[in-house]
Amino acid sequence: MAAVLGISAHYHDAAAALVVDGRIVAAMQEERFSRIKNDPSLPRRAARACLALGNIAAADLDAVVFYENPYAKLERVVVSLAREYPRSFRQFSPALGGQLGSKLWVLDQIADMLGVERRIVRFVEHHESHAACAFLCSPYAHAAVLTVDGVGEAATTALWRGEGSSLRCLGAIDFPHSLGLLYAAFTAYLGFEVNEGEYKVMGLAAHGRPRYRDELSRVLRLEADGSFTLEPRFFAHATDTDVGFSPALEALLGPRRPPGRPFDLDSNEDDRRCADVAASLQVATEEALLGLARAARERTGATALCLAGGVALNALANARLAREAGFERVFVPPAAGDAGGALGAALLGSRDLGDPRPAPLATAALGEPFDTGAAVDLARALGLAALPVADASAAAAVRIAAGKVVALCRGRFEFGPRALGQRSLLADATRAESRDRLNRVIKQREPFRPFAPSVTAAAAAALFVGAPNDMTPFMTTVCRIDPGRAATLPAVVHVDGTARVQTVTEPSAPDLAPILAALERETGVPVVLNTSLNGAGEPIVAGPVEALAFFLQHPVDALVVGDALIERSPA
Amino acid sequence: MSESVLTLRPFVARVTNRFVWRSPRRAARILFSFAHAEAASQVDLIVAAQLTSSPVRRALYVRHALDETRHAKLFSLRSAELLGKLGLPPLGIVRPDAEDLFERLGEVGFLAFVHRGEQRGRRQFDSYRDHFARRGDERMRALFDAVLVDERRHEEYTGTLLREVAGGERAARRALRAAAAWEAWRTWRRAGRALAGAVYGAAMSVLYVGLAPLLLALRPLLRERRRWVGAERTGAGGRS
Amino acid sequence: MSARRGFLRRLASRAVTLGGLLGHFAHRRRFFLVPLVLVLLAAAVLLAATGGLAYVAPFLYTLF
Repeated sequence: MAAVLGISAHYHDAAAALVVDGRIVAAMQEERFSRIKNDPSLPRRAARACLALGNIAAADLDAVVFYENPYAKLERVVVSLAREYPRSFRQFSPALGGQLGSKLWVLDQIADMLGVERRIVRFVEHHESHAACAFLCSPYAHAAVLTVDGVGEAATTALWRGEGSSLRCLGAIDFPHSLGLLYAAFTAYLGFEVNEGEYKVMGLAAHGRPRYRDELSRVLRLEADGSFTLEPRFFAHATDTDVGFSPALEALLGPRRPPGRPFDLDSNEDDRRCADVAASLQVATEEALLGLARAARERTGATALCLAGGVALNALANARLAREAGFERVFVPPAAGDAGGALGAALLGSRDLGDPRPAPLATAALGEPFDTGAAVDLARALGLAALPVADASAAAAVRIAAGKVVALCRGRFEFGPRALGQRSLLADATRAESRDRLNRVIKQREPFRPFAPSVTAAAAAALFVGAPNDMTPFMTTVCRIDPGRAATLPAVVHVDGTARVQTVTEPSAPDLAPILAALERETGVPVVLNTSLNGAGEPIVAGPVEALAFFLQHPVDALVVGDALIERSPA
Repeated sequence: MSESVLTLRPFVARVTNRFVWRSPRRAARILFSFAHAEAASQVDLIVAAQLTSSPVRRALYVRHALDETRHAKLFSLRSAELLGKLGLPPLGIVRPDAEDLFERLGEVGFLAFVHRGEQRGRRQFDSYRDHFARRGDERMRALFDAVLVDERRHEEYTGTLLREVAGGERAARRALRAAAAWEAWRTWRRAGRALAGAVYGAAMSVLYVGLAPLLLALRPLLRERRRWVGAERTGAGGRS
Repeated sequence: MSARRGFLRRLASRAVTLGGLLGHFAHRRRFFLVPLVLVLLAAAVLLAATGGLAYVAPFLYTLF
């Protein structure tokens, strides 16, 4: 019986996760505390919060497990620099400085940060941590596991066989052949910020036609064995990490889109070209993933597939895998990226100390609980009236049905990039103006970005094709809306007829389920537009301070904090 | 501070502002740097609001943070406008960084630091506002005027809070001196790091060139390996 | 005394990491990378030296 803390840090989206006696106690991203988006620094506050929730002191930990092998990472960096000699001149000094100055010593830094003995701090391989997060949190006893990201130590893609508590690596693809880096390079090419803009590329893809498939096939070659290779002359990963793509890519597809230029798909020819590039990229990525998944099915004979790594955040691709890869079931955890590596590391550490595999992940609500009392006190100090209501869920539902935007802060905040009803902005999915108002005024996003629906699991099957499934509780896939119902939910259906659906039950989203039930009683439609509670460029709200700051700064109509309601103007 | 320095400062600012704000491109970069500083301040204040034990101070820090957010937006929009007139794209998204000031300095130290920062900002923006008023640039004058309203309020309330939390005027002055010393040491270390970084970069460049025979000889041994089919290894447990 | 103990503990911790690094290369049997490891050590020494330089660099800069 052991207490194990998992840590991810130093690259992007640092996080900490605590597993005690084989049970997941807590998992949180550092950005929620530091308020720095995708904060990569050591997750000091997240670790403290995990320990506090588990009622454990750091000194009582049996192991602290880091999600990557720092020695193998250094080796790969040195080997890459040597391979690219002399073109790696610009990277040599900063790359080695970064590794030798800080990243190599991460295990010592963790020991110092927590005040624990160095001997209990260890590491696991990066892709193994992703695989563990996916498989050990899934409901499957046996599965094929695919981990696909930018790059770990050296691997960018790995195939695993999951059986019971064990994971066996069957093969890998190494840097520089990477779907994650491919997508990142195109994100930069399309004028978005890398590690932030990939979702935007996905949303943009639906507005384009994949007329650059031939060109993409010269960039990304699909092999007969299911693997893939990138053509190096189109990329600059080893020589110029600022941009990631070379002039050859611009010669192939046209000039890059200038960052920061507002999108105008209606009248700007170049923006339409970019949408077509995004669509072509999406198709190419999906086909590469399909090749990997079909190879996985052949190698393992499994009927279930688990996916993790940053590329598994591509919900469109996940839906295509579920339809076409030949698996009966597919699971993607809520924190499929690097944050999930912390949870995977903790689970591996726990397993290796003899603890059983945890129960299948039922909810992503693994963060700190919301302090309603502190929120009410702060609201009053800020001159806001925070009124207790008998039934906050019903009060929220009434306002949503009336076309108002309601912010919801209840229970424990979510682990991962999606808001799943713990820290959400909710609006009426049946009104198109909900989407326009949220995009333009509140979230200040590009106009082509879609919003996602949350629907009761019971009603999902009638509205969305293929829902519910193993991915929909965590919003890690998209589903096509029933064609007969598309007109009824204009705020949440994308131009291609799909939606990134969350199916809601009491266990999966304990604070959203009663609101949907009340909404169904109010309007007959148990669907709500659900987007994350955060301003542009900010991490999702965690506690009372950020929640009230958000409310004061954005024209949201009401804020539900626990069983209290704060309104801008009374209903 | 001596009378002569106080009289000298506006004169120096008048002379330097002419050069500082001469080019629209440079002006856009400066405004973007102000946006970055305001955004960083916003993050520090939100964290301070999370960590302070006082509900009253929590609310004050939140209000202050909201002002900083607004300022960051004003500066970055104006920066983008200036660049847009030159046909150039904006300088990017404002991404604040964090120094964990509240935890590092404690609440008294944090208040002293913020108070000094607001005072410095207010003086600096006063001189910029005057400069643009003399030049007849109404938009820039109005921008700094709008920000100054808040800066004055921030300077005042942080001074009051500092005296209250530190426990009196003398303790507050002591805290301000400690904050000044900490800032000076931080500036020293930043300059040192920048210079040391330059020296390291130069030395590593020499090393890189000197390594040519070794690295070129090693390149054939470092070919990519294919591990996709048939490579089996167990998912072993952690090592130290 | 406690500061010294803290320093010794940190030193011991980094020694464990260095041992892990050398063990990694030995385990992988990539002995031909040993010259590169030596390069790394040279880079690390440079980094440490210039890191120390960071404390006095502004002083030197103003002198020269």
